[in-house]
Amino acid sequence: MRRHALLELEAEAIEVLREAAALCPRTALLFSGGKDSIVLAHLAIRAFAPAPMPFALLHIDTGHNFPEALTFRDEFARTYGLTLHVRTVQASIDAGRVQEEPGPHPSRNRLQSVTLRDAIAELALDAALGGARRDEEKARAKERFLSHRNAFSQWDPRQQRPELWRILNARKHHGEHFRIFPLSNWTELDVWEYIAWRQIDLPSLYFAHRRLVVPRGHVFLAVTPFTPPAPEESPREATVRFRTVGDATCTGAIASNAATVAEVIAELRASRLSERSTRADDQRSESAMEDRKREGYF
Amino acid sequence: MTHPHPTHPQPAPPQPTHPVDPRPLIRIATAGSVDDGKSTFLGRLLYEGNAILDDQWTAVQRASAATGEADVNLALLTDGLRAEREQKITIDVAYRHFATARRRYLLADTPGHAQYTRNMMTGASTAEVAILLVDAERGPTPQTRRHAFIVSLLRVPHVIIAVNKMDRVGYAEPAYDALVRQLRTDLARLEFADLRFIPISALVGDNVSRRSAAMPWYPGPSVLETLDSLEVETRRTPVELRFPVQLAVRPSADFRAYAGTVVSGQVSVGDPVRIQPGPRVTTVTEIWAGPDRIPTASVGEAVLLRLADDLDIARGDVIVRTGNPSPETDAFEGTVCVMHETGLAAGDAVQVQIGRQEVAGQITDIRYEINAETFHRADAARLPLNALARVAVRLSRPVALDRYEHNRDTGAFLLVDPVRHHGLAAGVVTHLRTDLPPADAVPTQSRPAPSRPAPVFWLTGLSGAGKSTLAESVATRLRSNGQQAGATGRSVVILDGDAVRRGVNRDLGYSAEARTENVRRIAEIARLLSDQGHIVLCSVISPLAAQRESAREIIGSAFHEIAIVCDLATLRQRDPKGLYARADRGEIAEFTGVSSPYEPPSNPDLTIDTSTENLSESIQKIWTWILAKL
Ligand SMILES: Nc1nc2c(ncn2[C@@H]2O[C@H](COP(=O)(O)OP(=O)(O)O)[C@@H](O)[C@H]2O)c(=O)[nH]1
Repeated sequence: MRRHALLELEAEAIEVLREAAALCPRTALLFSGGKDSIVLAHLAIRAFAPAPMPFALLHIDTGHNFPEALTFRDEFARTYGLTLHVRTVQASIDAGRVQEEPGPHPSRNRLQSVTLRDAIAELALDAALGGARRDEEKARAKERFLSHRNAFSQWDPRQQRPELWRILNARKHHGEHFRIFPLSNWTELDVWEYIAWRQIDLPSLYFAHRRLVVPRGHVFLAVTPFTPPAPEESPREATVRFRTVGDATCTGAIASNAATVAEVIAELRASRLSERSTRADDQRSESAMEDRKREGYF
Repeated sequence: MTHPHPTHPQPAPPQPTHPVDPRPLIRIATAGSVDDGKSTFLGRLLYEGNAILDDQWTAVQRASAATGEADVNLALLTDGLRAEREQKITIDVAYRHFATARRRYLLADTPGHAQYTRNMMTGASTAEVAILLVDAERGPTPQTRRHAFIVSLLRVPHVIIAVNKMDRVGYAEPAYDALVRQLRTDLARLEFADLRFIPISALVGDNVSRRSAAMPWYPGPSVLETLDSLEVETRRTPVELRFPVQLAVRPSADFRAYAGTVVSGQVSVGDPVRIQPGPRVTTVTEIWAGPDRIPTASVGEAVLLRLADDLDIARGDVIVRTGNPSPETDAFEGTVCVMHETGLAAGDAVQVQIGRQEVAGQITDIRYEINAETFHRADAARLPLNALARVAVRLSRPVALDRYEHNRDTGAFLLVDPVRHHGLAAGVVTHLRTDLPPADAVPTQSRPAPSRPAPVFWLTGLSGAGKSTLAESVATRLRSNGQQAGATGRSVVILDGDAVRRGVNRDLGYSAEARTENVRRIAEIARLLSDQGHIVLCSVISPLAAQRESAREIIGSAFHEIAIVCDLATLRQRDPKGLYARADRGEIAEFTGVSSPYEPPSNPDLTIDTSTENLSESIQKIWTWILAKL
């Protein structure tokens, strides 16, 4: 009997994680407390069990994170006995490495790549593992499992290395590093199906809950200290959930009653259909696109 | 240009079931010449295969409207690549998902031009199905043959040739039949395990997912129906166990396991296994899949294996069943596609990745370049980017590998630039150097002439230490006792440093460079002799560790280093040729040990000290040791 897709994707991700461990002695797993990085961390645990995984966790903290995600992050590291490095965008700002965007409620999404680059240099990393997927956007659709970065952390699409069969080429010069994406061939739905199948815990943000929000465009923005409502906006309580849990300044919530993993999966499946067959301008589809872009940002 | 808006209802996806969606994931590669309609075809496949999210759909509707098209242009759905082509930036492989009620598909979309042969290789390397598009009106192009060649070379198990634009030829059966006949003739020289033809119209939607009413003469299934019905339940992998070791996992002193994926066959607890290359054998005691211990792991499973014996197993070693090993060799031929502007030429040093093994090697010959459009062969000195060619590769040590036709994972390789680290070429193993079965697969009586290189014994030491004397006496004993000694059919050759310097190396002096070159030539000669089954005894001063290291690299695993040690006082006292006396008087410049450095081996395979042992003790010691190596 042919094995089902999740088994195949799981084995593929584990194989890539083991290549990372074998070829890149100093590798960290980028961990935000978001679902993709949680799934990736669980796969890394599986890949080396019963031995501990050989990667530390690294979180680039914009300082605008939801407290639920940060608590989850810290508990996860504690539960599994993992080293957690946190590097903050605030420290990069204080050190004059980057400048905060002007304006009242700046997003730090773009700044975090400098903090990440500095962390990679500081920790002398050979590789950073990320949960990005090829289904996120067109440019990502061409990424490799092993993405080579030069000494300036730059990605040169024309120097992408050929990846054929199962062969990965991790040779590099001093100062260069790799971004490694074991979930390349997964879809968003695969991530959720995997969470259901392997019974993986997620931060509560991913499930329907009551929250004070303001509508912004097609999504709801949570009211937080970093994202207070504009004077003309009137916050209201709504039942929402998040599809991603990145920086609060640019992570929208969607109206949803999905309170369990199974309900989220049902919602995702249904939204694909309705997005296609009903309104061309479905609000959720717009947010989906935005979500993917943000996720792919790293 | 009109594109009818696809309006027929979509099949509902299966309800979320727990524990898990049972559909398998099938990998597809597509290819076609420019304008054969590949983008339109893929757009329709993705649309009808339930893979287009509304945001993408909206974007395509908007783009279609912007160009004044009444209907939605399905080709735009996959036009990430086209945009690149127009902007003259990297063209690459793009991956897309779609699904039917039965299966999920991961599609590698590769561009059509000749200059993207390498991308086509990449997509096809993991594909189980290849779909090649041909324009019914225009007929096959040179690209069609190129793509078919690659798909055949990489042994993609299922190949579908979709004859597109049937609407342009009036859906006529004779036109289709003629085209299929022509394709069969064109491709007659290529091997396919499963080749099918399907007449379609991507634009109208005939035979893409739904069967066409316009072609009643075609009784077969649509492309999507064909995909859904292909035999993929049991993968077309050979039954032999191949488990390339990725790394050793050792959380504590009493737990050691080997991580890897079963790339073919299966492995169970209790199985007798061999670790290749080499003769190490042991038994599997535990198999771990994540936190669980399981009795058996089959093809595709990523597991940890624990073994009964504490063997020295490293990344790259391959675990196999004792009865079914891979051949081991340090030289093979393969068909490669050049992946980098650097190109490839005979003599190039390369880092060779096969399975999880990585070894230094060299392109020893370009046998011929292959024109993938005419299938003709031609001589070539240097292979440019995207060239296809048969090359000969030599490795610095033997590895375990299979011919690609036997195993798509252990018979495929990547050649990497050893200095700049980029991938130079990817290829498939077509011939092993001997193409003989491994020794233990053949009963002893019928064992053919030796297929492995004979050992090379490299005796290093100062002048007068006893290298030549010991080499001579070992050679004499081998010649007379060789039969019993297991050296059946092997002759013995001595390469004496002085003798070689008198002839072959007469042009070399005693500077460091000249000494290095002296050693290199002797090592190369030893290698040639050893390759042809001759046992070689080299008695060469070879004063520097680096020189002996290079000899070891040239000769590979056949190389054995024997240190012939003697202190200078004893040597000066012996001095049979009076050389030390002359050197001490300054009559000989750069005399090793006196006026030129000698670095004793730090970790020789054997040490013979002729200042503390008498000659017969030394001879006995070296003879016993060498016997054990034959
Ligand atoms: N009549 C007809 N035209 C087609 C069909 N498939 C594609 N085309 C047209 O052929 C041209 C090239 O198609 P496109 O999908 O862009 O080709 P690509 O270069 O292979 O991606 C476009 O004008 C398409 O509308 C078909 O089945 N029938």
